[in-house]
Formats: sequence, C-alpha cells, structure tokens
Amino acid sequence: MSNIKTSKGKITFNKTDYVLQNFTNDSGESVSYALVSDSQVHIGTNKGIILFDLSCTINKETFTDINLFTAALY
Amino acid sequence: MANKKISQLTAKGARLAATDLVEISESDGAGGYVTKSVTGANITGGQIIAAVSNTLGTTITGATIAMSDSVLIPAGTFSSNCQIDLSWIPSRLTGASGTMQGLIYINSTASLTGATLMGTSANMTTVSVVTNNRCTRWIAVRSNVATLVLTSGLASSDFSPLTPTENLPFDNTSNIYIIFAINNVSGVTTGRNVGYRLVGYNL
Repeated sequence: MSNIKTSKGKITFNKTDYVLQNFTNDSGESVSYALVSDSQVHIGTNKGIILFDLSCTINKETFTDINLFTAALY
Repeated sequence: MANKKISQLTAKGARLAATDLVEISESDGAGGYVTKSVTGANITGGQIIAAVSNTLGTTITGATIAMSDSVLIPAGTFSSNCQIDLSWIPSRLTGASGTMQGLIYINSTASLTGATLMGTSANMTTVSVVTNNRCTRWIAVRSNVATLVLTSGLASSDFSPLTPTENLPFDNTSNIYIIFAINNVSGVTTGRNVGYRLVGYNL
C-alpha cells in the first residue's frame, strides 16, 4: 500500500514531490481535483494530473470514502 | 568474417540500434566505391519505433478507470529532446447506453495508482455496434518535459487548434510505462484498448 504524505499545498508520493495546483477540466473550468469514480480522483499538480485511488493511504491513514480521501489531501 | 557468407554470421536477433555499425560502399561519383561504416542512427534518420501492437487488451467493465493494456518504454529509448507520435485505439463494445473514454497515462510502473494523465479520447457513445476510435497525440519533449494537447481535454486527435499542456515530465533516463485505460463514465459500458503505435525521433 502506497502512502501519500501531505505538507502545505504539497504532496509526496513514491519519493516525488508534487505541488497541488488547479487544472482545466473538460468543461473548461479551473478545478483542483475531479472525482472520476467512487474510488478514484484526478488531482491537479505542477507535474500534471495524477490519478489516486483508495488503495493509497494519506499520512498512513486509510480511507474508504473518496470524498474524505480527497479532502485529506488539501 | 573473411570467407564467410552473410547467412553464416551470428544473427543480431534484435532491432538495429542507433550505435550499431553497418558496412557500406560509398560511391565516389566516378564509378568507384570506398568502404565505410554508417551507424544505425544514420540509416534510420533518428527514427525509433518503440512499440507497435494489435493486442486486444483486457475488457473493462464497471464505473471505473482501469488498465486495459500497457507498454514499457525502456530507459534510454528516447533522448531528452525528441518527438513522439502516439496512436492508440480504444474500442467501445456493444451494450447499454452510456459514455466510454479511452485514456492514456504514464507511470514508472505498470500501475494506474499515481499515474500521470496524458490524454483522453472523445466520448464514445454508440450503442448498437462496436466502435473503435483511433486517437493520436503529437508529443514534443524538450529537456525531458513534454508538450502535448491539454491532457484533461476530450480529444481524439490534435489535428485542430487546442490548448496545450506544457509541463508534463517525460524523463527518458527512467523506464516509462504507457498505460492504456478505459473509463466507463456512466458505469454501464464495456470497453478495451485494441492496439497502439509509438514512433519517435531523437533530436
């Protein structure tokens, strides 16, 4: 199980740092994230849009709800 | 190699590499020839066919983004400055009414978790028959950073004016997996990837 570490507008995953930032969704809106299923979310970063899912922990905490998972990233 | 036919030489058994040498007779323009060598890169003009496949990928069902197929681009296949032409073909299978998309991601492993979105096809909604959608992306890599069509935008091709994404890491010093995924947006469709082609030029 892979862990995501959060830190003031930044996340670290697989030894790579990502700065959280908005992206333009397919409706032309600027958003910070987009839920894509009940267990997956697209997160906007300075290194592109990253797909995360509930198989990941956040700061070693396990989630079963994608909304709570996403909220914990910010 | 003396007194040996070409058919008697040990077969390389692999594609011509950029640094391989081939013996040639260069014309001197006056009817004579000079024996010289050329590199693999000289012959191909820098073109690299990194991957071609007609494989029928795993059929994906349910309301999820899941991997149908993937291909590894080994470290060093491309240089830090290159152009890559990627085609992939998501296929929407017959079934219930709803929207399906074919997506591509890149990652250092063959896993969607933590993968970076690289492109999304147009919506595929035809119900009565199987539909395939050849999708293409022109990827310009400058100093290991890729520019291509906006990765979150829905587009089968980049043959029209579209906003670009200009900050996608594409570090060819590491292994890169191209992942072909299916997104059953409405949850009632099924689909799979049915082929891809990746051709590039080192610059």
